[in-house]
Amino acid sequence: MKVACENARQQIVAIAAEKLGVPEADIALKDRLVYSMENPEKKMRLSWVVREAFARAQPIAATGTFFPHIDLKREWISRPWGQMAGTFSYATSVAEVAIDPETGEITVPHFTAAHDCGRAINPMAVEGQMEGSVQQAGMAAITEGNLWDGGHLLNPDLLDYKVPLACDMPEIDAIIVESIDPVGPFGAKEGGIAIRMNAYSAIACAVSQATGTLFKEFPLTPDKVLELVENGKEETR
Amino acid sequence: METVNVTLRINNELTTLQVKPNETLLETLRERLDLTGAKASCGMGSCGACTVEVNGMPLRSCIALTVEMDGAEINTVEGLKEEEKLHPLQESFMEEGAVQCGFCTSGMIMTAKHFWIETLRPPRRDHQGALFQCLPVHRL
Amino acid sequence: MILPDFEYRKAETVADAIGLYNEFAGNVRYLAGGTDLMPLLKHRLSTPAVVIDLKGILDLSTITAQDGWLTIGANVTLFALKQNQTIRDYFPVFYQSLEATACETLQMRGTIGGNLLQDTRCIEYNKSNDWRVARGFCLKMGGKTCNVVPGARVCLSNYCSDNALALISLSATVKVIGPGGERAMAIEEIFSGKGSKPFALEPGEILTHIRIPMEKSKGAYEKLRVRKSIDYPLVAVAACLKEDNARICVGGIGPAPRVYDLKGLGTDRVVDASRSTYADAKAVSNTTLSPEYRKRMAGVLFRRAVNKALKEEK
Repeated sequence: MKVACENARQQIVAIAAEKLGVPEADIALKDRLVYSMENPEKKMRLSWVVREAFARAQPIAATGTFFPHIDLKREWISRPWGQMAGTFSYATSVAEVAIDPETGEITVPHFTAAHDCGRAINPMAVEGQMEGSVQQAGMAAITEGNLWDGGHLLNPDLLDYKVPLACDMPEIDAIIVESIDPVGPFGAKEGGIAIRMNAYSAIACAVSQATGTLFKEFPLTPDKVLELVENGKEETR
Repeated sequence: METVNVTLRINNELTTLQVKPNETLLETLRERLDLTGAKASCGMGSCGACTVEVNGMPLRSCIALTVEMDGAEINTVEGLKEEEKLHPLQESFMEEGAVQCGFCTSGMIMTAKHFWIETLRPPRRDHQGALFQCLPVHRL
Repeated sequence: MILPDFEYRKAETVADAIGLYNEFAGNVRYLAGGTDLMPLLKHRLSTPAVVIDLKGILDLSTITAQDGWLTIGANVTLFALKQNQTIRDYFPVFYQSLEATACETLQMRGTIGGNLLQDTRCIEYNKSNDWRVARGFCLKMGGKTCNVVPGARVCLSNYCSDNALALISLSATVKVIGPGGERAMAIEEIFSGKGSKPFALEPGEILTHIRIPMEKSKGAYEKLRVRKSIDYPLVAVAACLKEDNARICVGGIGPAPRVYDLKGLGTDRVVDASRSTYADAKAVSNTTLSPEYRKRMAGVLFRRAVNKALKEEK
């Protein structure tokens, strides 16, 4: 959107400069007026420029696209660019888990996520993305997984494929850590993906620490967690 | 298959329709009446995206037959606003940014309406049995 | 998913419904809330010629307390039962099981009769027609073999009603009316123990009333599930305490709930009884969690339910 606006502005500036007889670099736009910065007496209404463009059968219309300078090869050593945003974005997830030692059920009372998203253009949306990431990566690590029987998917529906519900969600502290990125649009990097990349790790680490043992498979359904609890006891013995 | 006449009061408008017995309320709303606010998602009553209000209670319209509804009063998300003014729930969903793609939002609003208005009590967490993916749940 | 073709009839009385059953030579399904039946129809697990709506039978929509019994019509919704003060005061185990059923929107639609007579479930059974054709039909669909336990001769699909367990622990009885007349029985007797045909009801019989003896009880309902709402139980236990005796019902594993009557509630007795649930639970891998785990959890929930009910008593 930013690029599109800039392109539209360029079209306006070109016509105004020609009409006012000043160089394009001298043109400024303010209060619905187009004027020369050097000689502010030279000015015209913006609507005239638009009408002029229309009369020339070249109405002011512009598009713009932006694609971040990223490393699709994911090599990152000789090509130090992020995968989602040109600049690396950072995030930290902290999960608090409680495990029922008899049933292996995990509850997550509290989850803290902090995210360097560049400039938060719409902070509410960034928080929303962070919370969504906690659900789809963090809580999903406990509930979501495909079950297969040969080539047959056993849980192709929303009843047996366990998407975490609102009542399963933890209290979430979403902390936005702003940094103004010089190359991103308005200084933004990306919102939420970095949390998505590590929310499940936070849950995994917390479960590993609580049970005192390591594991190698998601999701952390209660049957598997109970085994971990029991293995952990044996290991510490 | 013989058709059946049903009379419904939908968003305060009386409508008489001839429907097949195996038509769900969701199909009637979406395909006959162009009220596409309620969404067809799982089709099994699991997800709640198809929720509409029938006789003051939220109902998952994908597993209810239209013929069962004869004489019922049905409200959909399209009928929530009064004249040009949005329902306070719609307003607060907007203010709090409680949308992602918005597909299931009408179902959430129709479900939330019951807890919010009909019983004048705040929604309890364990009642939020609706399955809504990919949205900032906490914005609710 | 689109429903198969069928005719629709609305019954005004029980006699009406049975008349319609006879008229269509039994090729019918009774419809109450539809939360169980509609998915079955959509999956083509049931293809009746006629669906008979029982919701119009107003006699079955009342709750009455009389002669030492609370009589509940089969058409009363789970949500309405939850609002009933007698149930809250007298039968806490029932109130808790109602609260644990699916989610509130479905409780508003689902009736108690329909909840009790819901079909058994299996991860290889409640699937679309296409899925099942690709996989091959199992015993419950009229095929030759079980898809969960190869070579098995009986179906061990799970009966997943929460409220049946609570009602059994409360020693409730049910009244059924069918083409052959009317009969009453203890609620646990409606189960055949066979997953392929879970109910010991005669063809065309309608469950009309549930009766619970009006005695104040202490109770607790414990349910294991992956998510805190919507999900069916992976194993569940209802415990009802009256003086020094307890009636405990374990369900969610296998086609019929299992009842345990305890005389005396000493810790040893409870632990002993909870241990026997392990061998009794015939769990197979027909849900999302492992069968061994579900067998073990039966005992854990058993002890929890009794202890929770005991605590309440103090």
